[in-house]
Amino acid sequence: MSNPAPSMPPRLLRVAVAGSVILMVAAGGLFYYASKAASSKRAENAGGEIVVTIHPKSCEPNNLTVPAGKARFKIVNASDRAVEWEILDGVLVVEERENIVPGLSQIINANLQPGDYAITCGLLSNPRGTLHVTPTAASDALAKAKPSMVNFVGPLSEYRVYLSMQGSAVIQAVTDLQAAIKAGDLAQARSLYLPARTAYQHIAPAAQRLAELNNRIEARADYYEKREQDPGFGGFHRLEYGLFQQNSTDGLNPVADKLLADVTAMKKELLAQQLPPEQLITIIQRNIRSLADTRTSGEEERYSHSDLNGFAANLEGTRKVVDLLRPLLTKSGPDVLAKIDTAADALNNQIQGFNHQDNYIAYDQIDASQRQQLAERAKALADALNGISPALGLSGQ
Amino acid sequence: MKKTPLALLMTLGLLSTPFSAFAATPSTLDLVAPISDYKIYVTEEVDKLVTETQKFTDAIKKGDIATAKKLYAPTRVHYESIEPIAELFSDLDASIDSRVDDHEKGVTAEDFTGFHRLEYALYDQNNVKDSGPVADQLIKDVKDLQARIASLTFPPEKVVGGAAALMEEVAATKISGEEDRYSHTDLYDFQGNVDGAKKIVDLFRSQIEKSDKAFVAKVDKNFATVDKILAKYKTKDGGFETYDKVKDADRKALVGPVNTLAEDLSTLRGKLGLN
Amino acid sequence: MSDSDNAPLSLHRRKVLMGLGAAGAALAGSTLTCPAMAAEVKVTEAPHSDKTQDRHAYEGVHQAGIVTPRPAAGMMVSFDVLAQDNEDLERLFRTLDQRIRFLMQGGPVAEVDPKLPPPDSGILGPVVTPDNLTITVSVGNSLFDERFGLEHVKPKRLSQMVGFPNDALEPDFCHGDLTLQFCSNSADSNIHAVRDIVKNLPDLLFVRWKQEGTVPAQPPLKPGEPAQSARNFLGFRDGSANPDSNDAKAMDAIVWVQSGSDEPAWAAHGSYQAVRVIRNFVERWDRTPLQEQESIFGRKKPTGAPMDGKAETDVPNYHKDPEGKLTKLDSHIRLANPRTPESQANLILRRPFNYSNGVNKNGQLDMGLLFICYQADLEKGFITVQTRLNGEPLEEYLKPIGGGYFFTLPGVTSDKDFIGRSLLAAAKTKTVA
Repeated sequence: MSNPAPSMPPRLLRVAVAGSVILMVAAGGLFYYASKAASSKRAENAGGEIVVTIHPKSCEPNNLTVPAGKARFKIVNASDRAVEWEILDGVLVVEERENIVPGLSQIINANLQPGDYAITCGLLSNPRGTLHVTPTAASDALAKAKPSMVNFVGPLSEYRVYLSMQGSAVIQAVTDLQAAIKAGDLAQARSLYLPARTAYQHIAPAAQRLAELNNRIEARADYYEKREQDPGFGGFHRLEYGLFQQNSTDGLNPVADKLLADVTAMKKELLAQQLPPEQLITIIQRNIRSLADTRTSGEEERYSHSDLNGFAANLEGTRKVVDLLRPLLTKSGPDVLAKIDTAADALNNQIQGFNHQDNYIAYDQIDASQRQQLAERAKALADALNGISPALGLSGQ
Repeated sequence: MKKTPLALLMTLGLLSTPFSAFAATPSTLDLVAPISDYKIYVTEEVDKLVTETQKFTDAIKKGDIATAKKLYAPTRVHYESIEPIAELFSDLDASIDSRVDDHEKGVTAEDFTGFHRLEYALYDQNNVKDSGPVADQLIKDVKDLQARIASLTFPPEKVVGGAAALMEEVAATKISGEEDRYSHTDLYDFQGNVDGAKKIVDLFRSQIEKSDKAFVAKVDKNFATVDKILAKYKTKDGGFETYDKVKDADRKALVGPVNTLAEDLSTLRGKLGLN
Repeated sequence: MSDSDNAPLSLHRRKVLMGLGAAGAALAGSTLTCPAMAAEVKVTEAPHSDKTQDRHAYEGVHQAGIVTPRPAAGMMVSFDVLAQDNEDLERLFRTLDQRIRFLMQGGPVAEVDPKLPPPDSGILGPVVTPDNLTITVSVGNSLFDERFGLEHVKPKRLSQMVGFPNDALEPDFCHGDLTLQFCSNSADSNIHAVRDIVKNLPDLLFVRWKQEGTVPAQPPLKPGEPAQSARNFLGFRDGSANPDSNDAKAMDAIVWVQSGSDEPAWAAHGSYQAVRVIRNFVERWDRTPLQEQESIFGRKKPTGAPMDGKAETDVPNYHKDPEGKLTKLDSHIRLANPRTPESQANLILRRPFNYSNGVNKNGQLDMGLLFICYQADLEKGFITVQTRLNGEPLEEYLKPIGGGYFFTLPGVTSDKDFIGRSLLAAAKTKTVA
């Protein structure tokens, strides 16, 4: 309070201020005590909601303990920019929520196996927290009752071959892009940005498990403190910014070099990581879910407006996995399969409607109602994909 | 002996559950990497088969017998090395690789096509004037094989069992020299089969060694013995002598390790918990 | 026998022999028919059999050797007929008739002047013993060509065998104008019989190909014990789901051509015979995991029971297993007989033997199955069943190399009748029956 109201006697005001301060401190203390008690209670109560608040430079609480099984997290974004929140198993993303709008919250439902995990917290530069998941009788029983893994060896092998071949395609496309940038050929580089991005979007569902490496390759500017000016901002979108916003290849050489090194490492990592069947399904669910929930805003390719390209490539990557599981699903879940095929066709038809002679319309030409329709169709597909895990007898996420 | 319904159900359940479900559950997913690496290997081999067969059939259609003869055996190696997968497509296998005694009407049989029909024209008749249609069919077939392999999810038991299948192939057809009876280039095929079997063993080496190091050492030793004998017949250009040059003693010396490899590799699936 | 070194030789010998006698008594339940091991058996003494006088009737509505219980030894011989005209053809059949009557009945061999070649090989001694012999006469598609004017009386479904996708037929091991199926207790009785036939028909028969076979014997059945099918060289019981050869109604429906059918009238009471010489890759089979062997066949190996049963005679319930989780959809028994209402029309009577020939150039054993089956309709029977089996996993271990399709002649009904009489008579009338 700066200027006391002229009508109030100064001595009363000082008491009032002092009193309110005391009240506020008391209230704050009470609040602090209550929230601590509540959060620890919630953390122990598997049926309840675990609230995590993301502040600009930290998260609260930053250390969680939950029992195995289903857990419900409410992520409150108390910072000033859109953030994402992830549970990491080593380098692998187990669960995540992207694009939590500042001031609002998002619910994440996760099905957790026993173990120790890391949790991210907003800006990439913020310190990570820990999540300790304790085993229960139910989780032990579930581990014993897994379906025969032999049925999944075929589809998982095929997917690994797909990742190998698509990985090689990414490396080739980025090499071509790098050459154009080195030659200072802006027009060529702009035309080569698309195929490189498409190739990566094919493997994005799998690549997004490798959080750090994936961020180096395709993190958007607003993940970084200083946004486009942040020295850490690199990868595809830094090239996109240079080529489509700044309209120049200046300064992009080192970015292209680093991107090539990173996608090469990504292919190697993807082949080295074992992908359990549950994860094969989770990654495509997550990918389409993020399409439905957030990416129809056009946030992904904000300089080149080539979002539809990415959507089509993501859908291809998802259909690849569905086709690999088709023999199993035909036997164990024909209704689920039919729903997925219908939803995938509907989404594909709409996306292809924006495709004129192998060129997708720039996303800034797509109006709100069209974006809404894309989101709805993607949601239908994401919902349909949820049926795969139970149909195949997997615990799912 | 009366059984409770539950016990009966469990027994039936046991009957229908593959043994592997009880064998190695965590290590079953360890098969994914080697199986996909094997598909990558087979894809590379069949790609080479297509490009080499194109050159081979082009030479035949041009009437260039000398070039076609030079290309015949090295081209076939890329088929023999992927035999376990190729023979999953029995119609293509018959069309590409059947031998004359698979056909009642012998050389005149209309469905005697593929490599050995062209081998007959090249080496027995020394005349490829009328071989155009057979050559066209062969390149069409190997391209078809390439496409089918691309869309095939490799069954794990076929990949692992493929090592034994290749050695059975050697034991049943290569020891006698009856595979390439006109050109006598059997040693190329022999090596192709052996290399294909070795590739599979190499891909699963670390997993087998976990349970049986001595087994892997024995298999390696037998492969080395076979390679050593075959190597005696290598020519300067990296090819092989004709089969009639193989000394009787060497032919006999090959039989033991080949049969033993067939016996040992027939246990691979069981060792890895596959049907 | 610790004092054997010091005891006098004869005492020692007596002790040894008495020891053997005790062992012999212990072997009383065995099939060894020389219990007197205490007597001095010479190394080359002939093995003994008490079955040499077993015999079958030659005359009957049908020929013997089809629904007759299959004995331990069989032989299929295929001939080219060398007859130049119908007179010769009739002489061929009449001579066959005489020889078969004698061989199946047994009896003393005719004595001739020793300056002449003996009429009998002498393999069975001066008195030929029947030893359960049956000789079954069938005719091939090629006999109905232009030579004997038989075209218009050819059985409707008789054709020259065409190879199936997995076949590697050797022309010299296939087809033929006429086959003789010899079955008896021992290989030697069959050999004696074929040598007799060949000796008696030098100008009328040319041996085209021949395949002998056996089936493994079992100990005698205990009371109440069900009969077991003999095993093949893959170690599995072979013939488990065969129709009951003692069920006359079933045999009329499945095996015998009926009078009044669309076949020529002379063919009534005959049957179609399909012969397949099928090599087994036994070394490869023996390297195949047991589970896979059973899954390929669709039966359990030790008992021959179906996957959902206990005994060989149990019938698999495929309705309860529509996806083939218990008995795979491409298993041998399920493909051969899917047990649907429609597949009831495709039943056949199998009567095979196992064969073991030589060694191939790769040092692998040449052995396999001499497959023989009988049916009233060759197309609905064997050809349909084999077509269903095309591409089965078992094919990895099989290679059919020989055989053919034949028509087994109707029976000889009296001593005025002779084998093939009704066929020749039908040809003479020159009408399509």
